[in-house]
Amino acid sequence: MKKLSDTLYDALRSIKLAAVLIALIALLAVAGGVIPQGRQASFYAEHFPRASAAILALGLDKVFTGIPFLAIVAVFTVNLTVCTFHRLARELGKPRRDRRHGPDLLHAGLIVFIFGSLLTARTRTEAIFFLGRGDSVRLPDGATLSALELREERYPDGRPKSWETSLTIDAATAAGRGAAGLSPATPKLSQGPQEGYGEDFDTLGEAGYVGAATEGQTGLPGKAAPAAAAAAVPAAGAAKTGAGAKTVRVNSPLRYKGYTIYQQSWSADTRVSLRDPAGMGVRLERGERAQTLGGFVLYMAAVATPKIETSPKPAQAVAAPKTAQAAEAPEPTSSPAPAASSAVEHAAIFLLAEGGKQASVKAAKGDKVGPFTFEGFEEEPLSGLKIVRDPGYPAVAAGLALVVLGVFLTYLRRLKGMFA
Amino acid sequence: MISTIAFALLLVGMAVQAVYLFRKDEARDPASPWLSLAAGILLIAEIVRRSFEIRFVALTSMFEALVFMAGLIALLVFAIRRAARFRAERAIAFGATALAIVFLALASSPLAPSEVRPPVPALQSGWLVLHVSFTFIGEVFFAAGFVAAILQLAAKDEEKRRNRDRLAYTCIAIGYPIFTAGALVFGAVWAEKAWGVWWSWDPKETWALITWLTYTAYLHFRLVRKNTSKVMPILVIAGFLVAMFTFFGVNFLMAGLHSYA
Repeated sequence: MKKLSDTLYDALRSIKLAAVLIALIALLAVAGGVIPQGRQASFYAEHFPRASAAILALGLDKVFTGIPFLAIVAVFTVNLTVCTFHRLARELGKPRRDRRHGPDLLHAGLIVFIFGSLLTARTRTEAIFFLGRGDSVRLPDGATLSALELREERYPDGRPKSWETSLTIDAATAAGRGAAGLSPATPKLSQGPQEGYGEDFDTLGEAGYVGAATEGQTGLPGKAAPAAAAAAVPAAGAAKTGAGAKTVRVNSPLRYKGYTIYQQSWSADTRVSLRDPAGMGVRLERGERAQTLGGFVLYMAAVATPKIETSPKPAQAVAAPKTAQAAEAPEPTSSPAPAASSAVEHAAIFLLAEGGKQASVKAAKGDKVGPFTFEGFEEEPLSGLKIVRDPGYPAVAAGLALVVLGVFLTYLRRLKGMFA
Repeated sequence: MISTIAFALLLVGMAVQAVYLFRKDEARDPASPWLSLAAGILLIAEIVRRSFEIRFVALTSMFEALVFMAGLIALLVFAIRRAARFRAERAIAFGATALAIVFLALASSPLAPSEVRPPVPALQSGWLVLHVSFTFIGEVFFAAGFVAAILQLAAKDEEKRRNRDRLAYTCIAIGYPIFTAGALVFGAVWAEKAWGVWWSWDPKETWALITWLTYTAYLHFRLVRKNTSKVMPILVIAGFLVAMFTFFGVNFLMAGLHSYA
């Protein structure tokens, strides 16, 4: 009579079990592919009024992080491991020329991949932040990351062609990170099982950092760091780190001490330019105010108004001020503002406080706003960067390499069979 | 213009195939394999022409993907007709040619704008080229397997059924590693390079995984049951339908990171 251990071993290495588990994983993936994942309960109530209770009760709103899915993957991993060892032992018993190790490599690759995936799910952290020219942020190890140059190219139809940011890393600041924790800000790395999910993410940022960005939000660049300070970074960085400025582009990230810095998006910071009676220039971001003798001027918003034609000449295009939120999307789908805004002009709305009274003022270029003259809009490009730490990726990459090697070795002979 | 000529060649080829399809004798149609070859070369040439125009491999739009796949199917039809083992399978060549024509018809529809547009920054990657080209090549083999599986279910005599099962299995066994490398592995590597996340359960990724799991299940079931039950062709058909949903359905019905694909 067969021992229980032998029965269990046979069951766990069974290819039938593998086929059933694969089918189950596929079925759960279909559920996860059809039902949007990780949304609020109200979303399901609105979009699936009859099934929302069942979706939430069965955990179909979080299929890929749910216990049923993870349990099946766990059993599948055991099945794969036992099967691989069993098969490998059998193959090694064969004469060398009869051995076929393609399936072993494929299975081993999958095991390494699953291990790497778990590591990624447990340890991966990321943060998104924006830097203007000369801005700096402090990296989690204390080094200072500074943006030297920003370069954006567009195609004639307005779509983005390339985004590049020239960066330096000054490792010298790492030693004094605790003391210098006020400026510049440090993007707070957050963990999430899947990017884009609306779940609550556990913040893993270390104590003492000046947190600026969390998952899916725009962090503030180190505005407190003056441009002059950032300008001093290249020389120090080059000397201390042995590396000069590095350019990051989309698809060409910068690797640094276990962190990877990606060119994620592009944006622009729109400001209004004012000139005071003494001829001094003042720039205000939305929500910022400039003090006057009897009160203040606060920049509230930009508005587009139809341009009234007074001559037969065609209307001049007026560049629409961009907002950070509008330009954040990586793939714009329409032409840029100038083409569409030929019949509009842009004005700024200010809140003017004088002598204890407040009033909103709409100003076009050249108009007076309290003691200031409104000179127009200015745009400062902002580079959207993402910093990621993913200790699981090397294992994932190794697993994937083994999978490719194994799958081709396993099925390559079929190609010969095609024309035999 | 090139695509239109290729479309016409495929239509003529299919008409010739249809004539021979209903003949009772074993006479071989001498023209259609060469028409398929010419159409395939023309369609690939169209992709090459567009690539020169945008100075990047032109596989970044729905139109280009459809033209590329139609061209590869036409070339595969030629290869199947030249392969000694499957030469007699006129119906499979006919079905695959019809599929190529459907792809080209979709390419000329408003669903797939044909304007030549250079790629946005995220698409300017060698890994993207490997990702999409391997995925499409794998799916072309799945397409041939799909046609063979339908005809396998429809076959009345045992020899034809077995021959079509063999062709379906051969197509899946060739397409599977190519699809695995392209859709999952190169896709993950590209996503890590471009977005800093190698997997995000984006709808396209999830459905590509479902496609892969369906064919994985087919290959494992086939190891268990070599006697080719009806489940096998049904899985092959299901796999291709899922692959097509991944390609079309996800693009039009679900928003995600692959919205431009």
